[in-house]
Amino acid sequence: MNTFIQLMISGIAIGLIYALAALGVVIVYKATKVLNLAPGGLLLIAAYLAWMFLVQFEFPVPLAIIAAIAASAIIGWIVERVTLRPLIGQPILASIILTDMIWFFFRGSTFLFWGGNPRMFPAWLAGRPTVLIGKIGVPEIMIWCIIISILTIIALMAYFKFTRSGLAMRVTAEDVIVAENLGIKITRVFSNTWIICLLLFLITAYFVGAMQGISQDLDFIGVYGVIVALLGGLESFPGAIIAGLVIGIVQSMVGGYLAGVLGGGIAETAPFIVMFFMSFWRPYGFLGLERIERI
Amino acid sequence: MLVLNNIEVKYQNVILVLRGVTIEVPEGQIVSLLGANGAGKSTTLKAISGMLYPEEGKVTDGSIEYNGVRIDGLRTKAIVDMGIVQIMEGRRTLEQLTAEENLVAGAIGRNPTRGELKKDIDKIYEFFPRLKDVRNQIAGYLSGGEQQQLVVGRGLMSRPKLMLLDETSLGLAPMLVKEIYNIIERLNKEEKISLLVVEQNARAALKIADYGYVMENGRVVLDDTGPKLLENEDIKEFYMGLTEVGEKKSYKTIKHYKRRKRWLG
Repeated sequence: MNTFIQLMISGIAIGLIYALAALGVVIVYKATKVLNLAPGGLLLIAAYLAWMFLVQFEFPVPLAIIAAIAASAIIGWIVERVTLRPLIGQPILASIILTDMIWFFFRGSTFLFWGGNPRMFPAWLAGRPTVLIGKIGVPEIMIWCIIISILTIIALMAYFKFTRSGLAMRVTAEDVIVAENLGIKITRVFSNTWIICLLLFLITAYFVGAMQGISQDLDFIGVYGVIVALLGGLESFPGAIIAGLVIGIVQSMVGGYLAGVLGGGIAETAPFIVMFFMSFWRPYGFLGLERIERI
Repeated sequence: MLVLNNIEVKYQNVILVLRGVTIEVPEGQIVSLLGANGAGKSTTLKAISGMLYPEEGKVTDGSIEYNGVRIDGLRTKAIVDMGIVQIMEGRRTLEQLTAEENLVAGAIGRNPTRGELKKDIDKIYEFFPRLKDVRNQIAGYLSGGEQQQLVVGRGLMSRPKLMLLDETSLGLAPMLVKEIYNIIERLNKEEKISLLVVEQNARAALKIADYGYVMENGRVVLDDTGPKLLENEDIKEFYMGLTEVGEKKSYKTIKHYKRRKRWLG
């Protein structure tokens, strides 16, 4: 039973990480209709930037975090402005393939600037102790991960519900032509979505980096992000969160109970197996957007 | 106020849709634009509001002037900021948003203060009392009439001086059409908004119009003051289906489309 709860908690933590990465994909997809295949690369660059300010430059912690946020936001803005905006009006496939190239561009540049050796976040982040809840040992970082992920999701919802730029984003997501017609600056909405996307990846990067260390292998989390987004229905925030949790928990459980029987790789394969069977049951994902039909 | 001077519009550089359209909307007046499907009415409105480019259309000749400034070639955002808003065809509500969010969306472009926004929304509710009752409902579930009111209200939120209405009466019950047109007339009188109204419902549009244009095949073929157009025999016959009572119809007059071709071709 203890093992089960332990696996459950780590599953939820991992699942929320996937959910955050997936939300980045979903937000970009909703507003711009571009399926963002780049989270791998963007997550890497965010992780290395976070590491750079914390360890390489030895900024004080709050300053390092603020600097990483600013740098990620700028990267998000540049990605939209330089690569995707010129492609507005071109076939959407061009943009999608471009995001794929963005992935490899950033992956390559992390090798260029920081080399291939794994890096570690400082001990206050990466070396958190395991705390005991009752008789169950839980890594403290996972608890933080769960708390901060949930707060981020709430903040994101509030942003969409209560701010004007959030509303502009929802309007654009629903109907670009109407948004244009109402005098909403669509290009600004597009860059805002990429900035938010990058900030979500940054949060993801902090936790993944703290749990697994930073190396170029992290971009796998980004791949999971895309899969979770697809599984959730690509247009649905709750869908992405549910799908993230499902994948996280499945992975954790499979890793905990089946890895001994089926070999270590099964935990990494499990999400894809889930995805495979899901596509029979609900090809449009858990919560593909429900279009309103009046009867 | 708004002058279209002999404009020509091409889609994708090949399809010539408007071939020399000249229209004027004087300040404070209601001008209606009539015509059959494919006559180029909507294209004319899109040319004014800068909404041609999503369909790869372009004003290739002539000029569009608003208060003496050329606006052809400007982006929609700039044109909305100048005070021209188009209410698009087909009730394009933002279905997943609530009615009130729809209204707020109409004002985002000019970034009003909270107080202004509140005041503007209240004013819309005054014109469309029904919307106040459904303010927190998801717009997609509103009835057709409510959605149409919502879309007009959303356009008003940008505080336009000139409104372009595209087929506002489409698919509405006659009573609702009347209601909407009453409100449109009030907007013109009370808010001093000039209107360019595209309609297939000729009677509804001409009743409130100071001036009217009839388009066919990308040209203006007839223009006159509203009351005179209402009396025009051809208009009566082609757009309202009226013929003189008691007169024996000949084969030719029954076949409307045949005469129509001769008249406008």
